[in-house]
Amino acid sequence: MIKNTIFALLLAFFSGCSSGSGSDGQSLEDKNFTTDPLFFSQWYIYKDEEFYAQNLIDDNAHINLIPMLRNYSGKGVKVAIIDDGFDVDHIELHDAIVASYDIATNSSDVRHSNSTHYHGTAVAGIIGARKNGYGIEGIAYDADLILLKHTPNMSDAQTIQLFYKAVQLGADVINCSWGTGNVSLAVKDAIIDISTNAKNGQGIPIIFAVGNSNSYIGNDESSIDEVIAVGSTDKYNLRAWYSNYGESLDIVAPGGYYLGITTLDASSSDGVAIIDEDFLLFDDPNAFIGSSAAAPIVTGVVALLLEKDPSLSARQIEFILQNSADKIGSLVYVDSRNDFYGYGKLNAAKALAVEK
Amino acid sequence: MRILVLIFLSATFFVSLAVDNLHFLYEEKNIAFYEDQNGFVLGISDEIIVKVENQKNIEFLQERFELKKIGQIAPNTYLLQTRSFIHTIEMVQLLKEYDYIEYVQPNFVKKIIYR
Repeated sequence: MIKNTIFALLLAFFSGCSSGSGSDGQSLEDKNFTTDPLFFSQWYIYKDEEFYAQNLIDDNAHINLIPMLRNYSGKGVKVAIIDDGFDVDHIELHDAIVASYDIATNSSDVRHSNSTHYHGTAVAGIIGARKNGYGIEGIAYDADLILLKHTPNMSDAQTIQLFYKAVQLGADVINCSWGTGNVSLAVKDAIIDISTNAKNGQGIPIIFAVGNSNSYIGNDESSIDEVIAVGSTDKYNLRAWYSNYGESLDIVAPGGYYLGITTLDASSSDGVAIIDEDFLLFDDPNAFIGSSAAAPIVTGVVALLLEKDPSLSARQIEFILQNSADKIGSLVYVDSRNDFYGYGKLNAAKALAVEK
Repeated sequence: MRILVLIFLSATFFVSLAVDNLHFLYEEKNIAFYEDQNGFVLGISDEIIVKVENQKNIEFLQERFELKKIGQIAPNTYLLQTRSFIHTIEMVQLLKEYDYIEYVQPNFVKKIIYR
């Protein structure tokens, strides 16, 4: 009871702080805000009391998005995703796609090259799965998606061309749930240029997953100061054991372990899901787990930030995310950060409540 | 004569690689693959990436070193083709000497790691 009262007070506080939010009486008890049947299992954005209790999930393992769900949906924001291919016919995605490009074929066909591929579809689902009553809800379920397909072995020139293609297609934010561990000068230069100078100097936020080898981030794309480097937390609201670390880590978000991140799988017989052919459920034997899942959670929230204030620069967005993050874990934060949690865990409500 | 030139270039090539701590692994489809000091595999083809200072053009470089321009890939940044992939490292070392070149590197081929 006391807990519910405190939460209601916090909810009112954040609703009141947020520009243009206005309270609509939504509460955690009101599940009618969604008609998507798998939403209860999206533990990274929503705390379903029963689901949390059954799966022994820490009360704060989610990103505190619920107070904002009805206020921002990513509408009008173009999110570019660079990945291995996409199920463009997935019922949760096909209305979201506004542009696509495959570097290998120089065409707009970005379908998965192999029937077992799923990675790009899973990433895209976390960000932009439609609110359509079919399955899950993306964090930015009204955002426009720009899908960019790369190849398993990329030349630096191809990587650079893909990033500039995203700019050319009007991207407002770019998600990269991959890396090489060995970024070169030319790629670094292009990423810095885009995140600093694109959109007439506003810069485009570029979000990179830091990797899952429980090792130092090193000379990876995610080590570039100008990108937002994202590590993973688990259902206990602690750093996932596999999440890479280092001084370039900016923020952590749910990437799962013990429980996966419920998202899309390549539909029908494609992909890797075993329980549900269209979705990678939290308990699927091939569940989606890793910083690949954590990065699009941050990207989705960046889309909401840009919907709220399209004039935010890439630097301002990075600053907001860093300074609104929750200081979780038992490690000491020195000057607001440490190498295992960065500036802390993503808190969407707090981030959206920050005024420029 | 041709063989001597090749021996010379190969020697230069491996001296350069030693400098960059690359270890040759194998060659495939005109791309030489190396392992760097951290265990990452890098492919080196006959292409290089050159960034020049603002307002500078690359015509002189093309003529001087018989480089073919493939295209511009970023502001002041060009993708150029050398005569063969065995010349790539040597060419990178030569071009590094020019003040108006901000950087030059092979157009590395790398494996993408999904996370």
